[in-house]
Amino acid sequence: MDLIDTGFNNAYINMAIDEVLLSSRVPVLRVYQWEPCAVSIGKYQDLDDIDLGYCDESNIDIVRRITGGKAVLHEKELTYSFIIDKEMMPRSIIESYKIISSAIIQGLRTLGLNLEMHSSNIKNKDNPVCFQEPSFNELTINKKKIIGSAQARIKGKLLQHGSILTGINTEKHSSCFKIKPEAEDLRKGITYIDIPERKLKDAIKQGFSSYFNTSLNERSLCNSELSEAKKLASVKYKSENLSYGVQSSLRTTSL
Amino acid sequence: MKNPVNLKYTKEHEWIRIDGDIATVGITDYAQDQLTDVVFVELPEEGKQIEQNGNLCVVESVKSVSDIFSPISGEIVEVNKALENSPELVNHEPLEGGWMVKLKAINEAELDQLMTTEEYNKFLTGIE
Repeated sequence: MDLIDTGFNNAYINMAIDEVLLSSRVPVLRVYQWEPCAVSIGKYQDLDDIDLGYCDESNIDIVRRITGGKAVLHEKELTYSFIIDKEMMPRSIIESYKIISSAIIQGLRTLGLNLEMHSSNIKNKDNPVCFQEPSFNELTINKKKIIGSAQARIKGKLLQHGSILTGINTEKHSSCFKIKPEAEDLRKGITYIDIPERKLKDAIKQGFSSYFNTSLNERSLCNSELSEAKKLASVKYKSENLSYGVQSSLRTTSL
Repeated sequence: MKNPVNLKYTKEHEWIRIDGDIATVGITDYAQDQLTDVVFVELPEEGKQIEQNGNLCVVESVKSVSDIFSPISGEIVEVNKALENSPELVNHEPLEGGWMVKLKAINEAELDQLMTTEEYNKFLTGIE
């Protein structure tokens, strides 16, 4: 399994790198962060869920993910992505979440943290805020959501990425949405890990290595991956904002 | 749910039913169960040509988006517009109201490569 730490990048590059890594021949665990902070929305999420004026004034980029799910403000977090041949994972989406969550639980246990897997599905499928409700086998601490995750099964691969919160500004998080969730409600339902990101990275690496019983081959992106990601970032992810209307018109009901 | 004998199946758990020169395609009960609640189906454009095993449509369920593949090549003559408002039909009636597209210009040789009900049931037993 390859391990790639791409550090801080903007939203467009971050999402493009994940897409480029779908071509990897071996499983990849990537860890990364976001600079500037950004809101990512699900592949089919309605852009109308987002307060574009607020995001623009606050220099928050907006990017559409290739994965499902709802919107996340990426600010104080460590993000992971895991890419593997879909044939190597269960076909059941819930089961595959369980496997990846188990690797993370194992890693974070080394930091003395006891994460739990949520045992039921999202109750309100119309809720545009990813972190407001845990889904099947997503991770919580004391019933509060700590990692928001989303998946895609495309090009023969399974890609899952997830945001491990290392802090949260609930007012800012709430402000990103057109229908603003109460900051107090977010505080009640979300938690974070106040641990230096370096330690967190090491724990995640250890969790995947130990759970999948494999060594991790740490490498950087190669030049071709990087140049392909830069191209995708510019021609797809950055410009895709403009075609949101087209995406929205596909939708006749909100998720 | 029993898999009907008049259908053919793929290893990716799509089904196909032939009525004259039209083939109807959907996903099996097993496939919908693995996806859990379907919340959105991105349907292709009518008139589009599709290759065998090409991406037919995309289904979103439990925060995952998954490609659905075409069992055979052909021209998409109709898509199930009911799924735009009722994607849950894929879960509730995978073999009937949850169908996804209709194709024409059916290639018999490609059909022969697909599994019969008996073969598919055996295939399912192998993976369960």
